[in-house]
Amino acid sequence: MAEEKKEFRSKKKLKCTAAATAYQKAYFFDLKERVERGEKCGYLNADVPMEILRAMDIPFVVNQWWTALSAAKQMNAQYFELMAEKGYRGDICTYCAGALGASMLPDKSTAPWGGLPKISFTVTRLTCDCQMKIFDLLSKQYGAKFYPMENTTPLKYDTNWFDMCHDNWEDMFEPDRLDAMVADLRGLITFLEMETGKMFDMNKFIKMMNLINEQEMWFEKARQLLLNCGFTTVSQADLTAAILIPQWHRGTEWARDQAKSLYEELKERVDKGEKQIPNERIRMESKGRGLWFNQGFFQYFEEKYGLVFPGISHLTFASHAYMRNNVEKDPLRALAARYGIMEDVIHTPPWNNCAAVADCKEGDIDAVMYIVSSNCMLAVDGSNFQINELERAGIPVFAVRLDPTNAKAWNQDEMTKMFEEFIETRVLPRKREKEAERSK
Amino acid sequence: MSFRECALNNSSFIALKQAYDDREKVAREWKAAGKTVIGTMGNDVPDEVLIAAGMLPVRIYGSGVTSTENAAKFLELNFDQIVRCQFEKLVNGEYAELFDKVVISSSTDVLIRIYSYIREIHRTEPDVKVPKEYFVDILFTPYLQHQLRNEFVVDKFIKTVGEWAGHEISDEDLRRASAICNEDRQAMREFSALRYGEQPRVMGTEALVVIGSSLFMEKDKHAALVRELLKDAVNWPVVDAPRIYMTGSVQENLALYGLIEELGGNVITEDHDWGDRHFDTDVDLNAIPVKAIAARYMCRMVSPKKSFIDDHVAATVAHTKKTGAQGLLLYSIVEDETFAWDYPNQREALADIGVKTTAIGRQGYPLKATDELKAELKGFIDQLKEVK
Repeated sequence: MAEEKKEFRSKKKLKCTAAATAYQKAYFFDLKERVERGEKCGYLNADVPMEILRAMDIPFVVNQWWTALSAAKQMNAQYFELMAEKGYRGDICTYCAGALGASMLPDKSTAPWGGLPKISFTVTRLTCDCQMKIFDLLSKQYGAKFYPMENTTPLKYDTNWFDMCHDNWEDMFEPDRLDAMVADLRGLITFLEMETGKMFDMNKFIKMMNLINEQEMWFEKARQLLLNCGFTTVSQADLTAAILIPQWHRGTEWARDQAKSLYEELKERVDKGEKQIPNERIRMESKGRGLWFNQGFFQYFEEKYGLVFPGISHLTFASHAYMRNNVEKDPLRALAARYGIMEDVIHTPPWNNCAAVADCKEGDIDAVMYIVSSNCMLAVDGSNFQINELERAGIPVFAVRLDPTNAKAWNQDEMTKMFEEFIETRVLPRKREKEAERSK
Repeated sequence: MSFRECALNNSSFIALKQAYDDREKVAREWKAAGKTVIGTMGNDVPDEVLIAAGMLPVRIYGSGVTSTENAAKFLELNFDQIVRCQFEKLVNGEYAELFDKVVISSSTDVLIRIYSYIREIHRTEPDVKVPKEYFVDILFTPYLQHQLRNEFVVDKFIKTVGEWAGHEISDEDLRRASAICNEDRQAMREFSALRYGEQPRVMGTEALVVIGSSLFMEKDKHAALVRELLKDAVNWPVVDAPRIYMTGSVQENLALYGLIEELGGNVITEDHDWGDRHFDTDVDLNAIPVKAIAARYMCRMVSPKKSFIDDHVAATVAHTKKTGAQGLLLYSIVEDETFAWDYPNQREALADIGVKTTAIGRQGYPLKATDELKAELKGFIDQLKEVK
């Protein structure tokens, strides 16, 4: 049976997903051409405010996208072997260090999609001690300049931050933190202007920020649609690509239009009553890292238990973490209020656990799958606080600690057994309780 | 492990060792006298500010903790065992009465998470008795904008501590406290100078006691004891053993250095927080206090975890030359492996000046003196003997 399960692949139904994937590939090859023609290319960590580079029309590649692509192509094990040969540890920071390993390939064109273009500079935020080191080394490997952006820690928090973030973002932060982040943004702009010879145009930036708000508005509409339709119309894997790729391209008209198309396509499916599966019974949400190298793992459970992942949390995140109105008031400050909260929203309680419970309740989620990355300090997420908060709210959590980039460490049979046991002993009994409560 | 007779016969060393061994003794005395005791986590909480307010800063440590079952309810396995042990003492109620507050600095990304976790425990777990937390968010990237930010952070800390004390902390208070800390640092620097060079007179374990005890007692009393000890220590017998520079996980007990000494080596310097970094760089008493304090914590000997690789490598080479270390030992415990990113470059740079290196990672905590570990250490020490 295990062999049969290995044959499953995540099935994509959305035209949007196919379009986004094709766009991403075309974008990457176009980017490589631009770099070959002499443009300077940046390599960014995902939490860097890439809006600045986009406004300046500077090509860039995002670390986590590249790592995910490498993981999907099952290249990471080779990368980490290469690093070990050079005296680096091949067993730490696998989520972030893939590109460093790729830079050590004897023939770099053997990396996915022919390898990265020539990298002229790297930018990361200092949200993790190792990340600074990795980007420092990566820069040396590519002969690139390294621009680090500092990270400040909030002393103030609001448990209902997600109700404030669109319009009252100034109140969500300590003003001094926003001041510090704006100063950091200005430093980045100066660095990029010096490095590339391109000017940062504030008017273009404002236009772009408003395009992003439009994009996130369409994602919010899609979120409301999925929350209220009563069934799951497409798989999480399908939805994830349709959301994340436009998010990498946020600030472009293509990304805004793609978000609109996603909404319209979902609406059409919902209006027609098209379900992802006919026997939907259990609705799960995933937290923590994604299972990149094995997106098809859940299809066995989909068929046996009617298990679906509505994937609404990606839309929630798109709306909560990105939409910032009143841009014109102070555009760089609005951007700071977006990227400055990423670390907190994703990785820190009470932001992530409060939002997780609210999101699961809204989405009528029966259980949560939580992947805690085994060799990453950044991704610890306060997972126990999230798990406790979800369990207290009556939502069972399947928590597993693993390296989501390392296919070799994955034991399909063991994981299948454990997950099946979780469904049988935790999810189904709770589901029956919920159904009984509702029928009263 | 056992200390040399020269150390054991010195009453100042014995007094320092008592403070090192019974780490809460002074804190208990302060509490009994109705005074304020602040637990600190991280090496960048400005003691000067707390001392200026008439408070006793005491470092939170993990040594001696045998079970981390309470910490395990909150911390993921990604947290290293030293921090897990420290956190255990915070959440098992041990510190609830002893410390009035706990102040955490941004010295590592792990501590940033510890701060947010403690804050969340206060919000969601009212039955868990933890001292109220405060966070000192020092930035380490050496740019002006971050220096200005750090001055803001230190100023805010001064005002907050003033509120705790019930009175404003004046510049004069800060200068007086800074002078006390400077004097203690100077005394430790002079003592540690006896570790360096071709004829060191101090063993690594002895140095750990002298340095570590400063984290648990009044700085002026500590400085006086170290000054007294210095008079004797300058005449201690020369230690004839390979001279080792240790980098890696913090050594808040004597186990590793003791094992190295048993195997014939001697740690003469280190860049972890319970060693030479602790007393490097003074607060400039002629500058505006808030600026001087911020600068001291931002600009001292680089932190292996917070520095750019070139900076750490350059500092390692310079410090190796200054101290006369013959070999660099990287020793790190499981999940505390940031150092591993710097090591290949350190190895290369030190090889250029004829200094040997070795890296021992993935170690457990507390230290387990396995045959494998002993063999690795002994092999390295023997290599250094050959160099001699």
